[in-house]
Order: sequence, then C-alpha cells, then structure tokens
Amino acid sequence: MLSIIIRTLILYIVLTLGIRLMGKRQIGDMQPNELVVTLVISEIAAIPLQDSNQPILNGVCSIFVLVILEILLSFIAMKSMSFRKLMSGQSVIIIKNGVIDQNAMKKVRMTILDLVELLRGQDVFEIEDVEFAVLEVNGDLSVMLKSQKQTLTPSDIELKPKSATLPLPIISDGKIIKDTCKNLNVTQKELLLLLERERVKLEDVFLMTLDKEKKATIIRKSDKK
Amino acid sequence: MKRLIAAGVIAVIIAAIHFSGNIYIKKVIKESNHLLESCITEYKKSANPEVAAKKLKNYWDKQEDYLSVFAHHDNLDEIERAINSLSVYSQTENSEIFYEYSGTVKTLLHQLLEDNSFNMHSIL
Repeated sequence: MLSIIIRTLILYIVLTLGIRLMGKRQIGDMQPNELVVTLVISEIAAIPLQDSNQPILNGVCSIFVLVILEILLSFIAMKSMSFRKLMSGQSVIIIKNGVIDQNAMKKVRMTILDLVELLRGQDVFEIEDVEFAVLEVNGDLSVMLKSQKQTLTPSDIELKPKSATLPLPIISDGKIIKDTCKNLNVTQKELLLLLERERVKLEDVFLMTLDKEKKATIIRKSDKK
Repeated sequence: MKRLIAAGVIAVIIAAIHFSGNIYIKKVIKESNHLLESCITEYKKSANPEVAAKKLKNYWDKQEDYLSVFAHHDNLDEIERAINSLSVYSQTENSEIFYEYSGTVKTLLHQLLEDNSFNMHSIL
C-alpha cells in the first residue's frame, strides 16, 4: 500500500512538472498536437499506477519524452510557418461580408446549426451583421461585425479618456505582497502610512489593491469591525 | 528558450538513464549466465553444484532491487523463482529437472536482455 502511495506521489510530481514545462494552456485553447500529448500523458501515467509490476521509470521516461517532443515541436512551429500549418492546420474564413462560404464550411465539416450556435455564443444573432467570421484552429469562432453594427467607442466620437491603470493586490490577508510593492514602486513604510491615514491596521486588511496613481481600495476582514 | 534548455537537460538525463540501465542489465545477465554455467559444470562433475547455485541465488537477490528500476517486475520474479528451484534441484540427483530449470533460467535471462535492448523486436 505504501509503495502505491509513493508511486502515486512520484507520478503526480512528474506530471505536474511535465505540464508546467509545456506551459499554461486551457484544454479549449490547445492546438491539436498539444491536446494529443496531454491525453496520451494522462493515459501513460495511469499504467504504472494501476500495475505496480511496471517499473515507474518507464512511465516517467515516456511522459518526459512526450513533453520534450511537445516543446521541440512548438519551438519549430514558432520558427516555421509551414510546419505550424502542418501541425495545427489553418484558420478558415467562414463568413465574408455577411455571406457564408459554403465550400469552407464543407471543408471544415461544419453544419449551419454549428455556425449559428457559435455566432450566438458571440452575441451575434444575424448573419448579415457579420463582416468576417473566422474559424480558428482551436475551434473558436472569431467574429468581426460590420462597422455600423459595432459598439460605439470613445475614439469614434473623438473622446480621449484617461488611460486605465491596473489595480494590483498589495495586501492579502494582512500580509504585504512584496512583488507588488516593487512593481508599483511603493515602500512598506509608505504603505503603512496609507493604512494609518485610512485608520486600518495591517492585520485587519483582507484585501487591498493599489494602482499606479496610488488609488487604493481596502476590504477589511469581516470578523474585525 | 528556457523551456528548450530544460527539455534538452531532461533529454540528456533520459538518455543517460537509458544507456546506464542497458549497460547494467547486460552486465548482470552476463554475470548470471557465467554463474549458471559454472553451476552446470559443477553438476556434471558431481562436485559442489549447490555452492555455485547458492552463489547465483545470492547474486540475483542482490541485483534484483536495482534491476527492478529498469525491468518489468514480473519477469524478474519469474527468474528468481527459476533460480530458487535450480538451487533446490542442484542438491538432488534428479538431473532431468535440474537441466530443465537451468534451461529455463538461461531462456528467461536471454528474454530479459532482449526485452531491454534496443532492437526491432522491442520497438514493435
């Protein structure tokens, strides 16, 4: 029993390392070859877990070989356009100037119901409103609406709003996040002064965010009033 | 680029494990075969085959733990069982069974070598 627990722990660490090495991706965002590698890795990991007569090294080596292959292929794909096309395929324009390209739909084996469903997912209910719709290699549909159907933006009416700054969490659960202090160029002393001004103790802060213009938002812990 | 370097390092480690594992398995099988041959010679001479068989058994028991890192545990257990039986029958005059077990050990050792070496048979 103990050996199974240890084997499981080893494989868990190997799998986590392998997936981390491959990089952050959601299942839905994966390219076909990445999806294949992820599925095969999970299958391979299960074999030494189920059969304790299998040397664990076999599973570990196979997992790492797949991870290496994946890293190598994505590196080559980054450098070579034709290789990328070969491995992942190509995006296909499905709608052009409000007209559906039926040949393209046949090529990607997409039914009109699939297309309408994907458009609805993008809040588009009329095909005529679409300037371009592109089926991406990961299966997502990117839609560009006709100019008269697009949302009005400040630049359309020649407005110049202030550029937004990103508020970053600087105190979490009463602890100062040093990386954010460095990013925002704020010393801990300045931060404590800011808290003093707001009449909050550091240990009473549940979350505090701060942006580049030093605008702070503080959420106190609920049990300390 | 960092990932590519990490992948390269892992590839080197895997290659090193593969080659050192292969060399180790070959060495153990060569030594086991040598001990088995001396056990058979001793049996033929009616000298002290049980001592040679014990030597083989002790050697295999010592190496089995390390071998289990690279080889399928079922195969190793099968060889261990055959060596144990060989050790028992080396003390008797039942030559038919002794030779049968020595043949089994030889075949299993050869199979282990074949399973763990790089050839068309192990790839396919």
